[in-house]
Amino acid sequence: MRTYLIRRLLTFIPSMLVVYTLVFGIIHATPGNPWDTGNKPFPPQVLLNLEAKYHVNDPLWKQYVDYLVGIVTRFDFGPSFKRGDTANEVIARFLPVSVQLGLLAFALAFVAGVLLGSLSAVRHNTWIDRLAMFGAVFGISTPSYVFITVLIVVVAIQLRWVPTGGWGGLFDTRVIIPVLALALAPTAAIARYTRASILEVLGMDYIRTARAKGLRNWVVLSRHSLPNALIPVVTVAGVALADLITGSFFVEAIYQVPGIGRYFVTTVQDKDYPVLMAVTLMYATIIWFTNFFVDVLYSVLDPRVRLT
Amino acid sequence: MEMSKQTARRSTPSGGPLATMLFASVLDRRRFFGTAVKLALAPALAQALAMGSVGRALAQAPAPDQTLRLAYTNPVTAFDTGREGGSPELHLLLFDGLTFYNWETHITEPVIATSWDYDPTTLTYIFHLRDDVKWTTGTPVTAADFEWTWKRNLSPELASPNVSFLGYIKNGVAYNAGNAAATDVGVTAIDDRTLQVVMEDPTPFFPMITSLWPFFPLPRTVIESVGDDKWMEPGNIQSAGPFFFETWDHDQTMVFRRNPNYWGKQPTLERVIYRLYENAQKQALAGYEADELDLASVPPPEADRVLGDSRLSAEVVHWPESRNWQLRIDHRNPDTVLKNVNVRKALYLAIDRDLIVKQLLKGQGIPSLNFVPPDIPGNNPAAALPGGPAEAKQYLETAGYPGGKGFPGFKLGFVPTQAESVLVTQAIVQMWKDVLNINVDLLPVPTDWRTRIRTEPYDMYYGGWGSDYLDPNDWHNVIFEGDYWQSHYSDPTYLDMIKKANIEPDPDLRNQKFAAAEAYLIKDQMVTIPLFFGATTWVQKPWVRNLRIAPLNTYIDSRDAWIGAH
Repeated sequence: MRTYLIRRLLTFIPSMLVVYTLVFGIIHATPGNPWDTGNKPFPPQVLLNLEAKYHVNDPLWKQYVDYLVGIVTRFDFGPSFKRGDTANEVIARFLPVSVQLGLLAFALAFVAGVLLGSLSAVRHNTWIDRLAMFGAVFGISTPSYVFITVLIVVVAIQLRWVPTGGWGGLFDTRVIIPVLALALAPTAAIARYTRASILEVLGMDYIRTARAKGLRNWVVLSRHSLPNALIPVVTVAGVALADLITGSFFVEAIYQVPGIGRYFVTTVQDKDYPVLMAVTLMYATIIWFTNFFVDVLYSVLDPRVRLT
Repeated sequence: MEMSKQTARRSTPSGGPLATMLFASVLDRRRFFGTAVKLALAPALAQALAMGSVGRALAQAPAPDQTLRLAYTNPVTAFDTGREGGSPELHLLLFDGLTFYNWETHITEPVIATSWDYDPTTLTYIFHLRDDVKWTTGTPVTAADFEWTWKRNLSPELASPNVSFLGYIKNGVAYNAGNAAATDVGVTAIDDRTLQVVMEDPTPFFPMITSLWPFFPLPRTVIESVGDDKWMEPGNIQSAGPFFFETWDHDQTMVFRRNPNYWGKQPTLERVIYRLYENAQKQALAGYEADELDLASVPPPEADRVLGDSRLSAEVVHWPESRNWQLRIDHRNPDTVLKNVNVRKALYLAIDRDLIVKQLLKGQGIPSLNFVPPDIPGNNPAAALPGGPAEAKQYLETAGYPGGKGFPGFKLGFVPTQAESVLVTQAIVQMWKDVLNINVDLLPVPTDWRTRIRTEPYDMYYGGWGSDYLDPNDWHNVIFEGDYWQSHYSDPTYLDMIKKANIEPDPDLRNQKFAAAEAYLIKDQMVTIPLFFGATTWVQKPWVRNLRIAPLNTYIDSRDAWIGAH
């Protein structure tokens, strides 16, 4: 187990190097420079000054090495090309908001998804099942920007229960709309996976044995079927978690949440390469570690899985 | 400056057309319920109206809470007066310039400078400064602060895009390019109260442009200790304007509070709170309708709903924008039919501008038959070519295409992502078809097309130009002498007119010369076909008083605003 963990952790380094190289390559293969995005072009001298300031005219290999060395030795992703702060500051300032919001949305999605899925499975082919699964299809197929817009119009503008946007931490009413919008799709996905997985498990011999022992229904469900049924759900949930804590462009942009999600899109539009590189590596790191933990969690949930 | 804030930045996913549609459809239903409720409550409403006079009397008094709540598009560029390319809205709360340009009277008013002298033989301005202007720390603002700031903003290391403004100063451009030292730049503090500025060329409008943000004095000690990127943070900044910067929750809110030590008239407002949006122009309306904001712009797709809503339509305000949308023509292309001036005049007269403004822009524009917007001195409404569809047909006949016969056609380029460009250009092509019986092709072009047409020939394209500062030279000289539109218009008569007008020291005579140049440009030569001036539509809470929106970059000037009791 320990050697597995160490071996596995070491693969983090080449993975990130590949991501870094790919992003670097794509950035430099993109035509145009970061400052010719506006419709009124900067005067040539201004461009020269900007290029000199941000060292974008150094030879490519030098930029590749310098930047990588900066990241590895100083954990320095460089100054933003557009904003007044550094890429590190952008992440330090906005990632925590997305993480808090994402964790809350994830908790909601996981609990609600597993509950709905279990209920559907137990009440298989009843109106409860059909209603829940209709809800799940609705949830999967409704984009977050549609759902959040409807929530804002109804809950914020018409009913005036919560503000139309903003962020005040986890214990503020302004958390409600973005959490619901973020949680909708993963709730639906988790519900469907849970249902399918429980239905499969409920057909197993050992469940029949458990019932034959005279155990009550909820004991069979909670102690015997759920732990086994949750293994595939954990995989889905892991991906959903990584997705949620890195924020959503739509939810954050529409509800004015100061999170990191918007920067995945805006940095591309702005050609703000240092911030783009930083958020991409951050996302890759989070995905990598989520996968890692899901693998480890397998061995906990399923004794047959041995990590060697 | 090209394009507006409304269109320049990421118009795509955030609160895009889909979201707008949803808002519109859901709210339509709301309007229905609203009407039903109103009918049921009619007697109560009548009573409320009778008491309205009481309410109005109360509204004359300032409210106890003097907080103004506004929306702003999250600053994604460095928030730095010296580098900001967009709007002076926030900077004006924190800093004063030497002067302030009053766009309503066209007068350059003294602010920190009490007066100024000009010596035309040495191209030298002497600004005399007030002695009671203080930084928030209490130390006085001196001429040396101006000298240091202007040189800082010009330094090649800062790499500021605002060099074009400061470049009028002697050696400003050379210093910025690394070809001169900072000491060569023609700005010198003679003493604490006297600032001497030597110009590179005659620049009669220089006192006026010192009202712009790159000329505001900045706190040298702060910038030198925390650097160029962090000095604007509320914990660091020292300012000298009517407000100070209290808090900045990044990407969320900015709060400005009244500066009790301000030298000038104390603002009535205690606080101005800005909520930061991905795109305030498109998104703020929701916050306004939920009573979280006191002012919001109405994006064109929402205009019909807002104007049709009985409550919202009473709160609508319009402000002109220093911008003109027009059709630009390649005057170097020998193969285009547009080289015939009578064709251009026919096209100009065949356009129904009222229809475009009313139907397509929902009132967010003002038909324009001349070129320079009304807020700019030297603009000339008499530069319009008189006539209508009948005269348009005559001009086309004179050009050799009676009834449109034999007209070879041309291509009208437009950038589809630009606001309303598809609708407007389609309508114009149809108007030409109806009135002149000619066929014109539409040519959708990418944004970088503008770089290509520096060399490639073209016929015509649709574009908008907004003032960078309120002087006619930003229109005539920058656009045609500097060839910013790639019109390649090199008529020596016209170029001579605008060059002479630009350096004319007498302001009245200068304006007259520019007005004459505009008449030549439009009425005689029809070099470009103006369509409409910009205008913006907002909703404003009835208790907000004295708030103005400047035509230049449509920035909100809330320094004299106050909140009425409500």
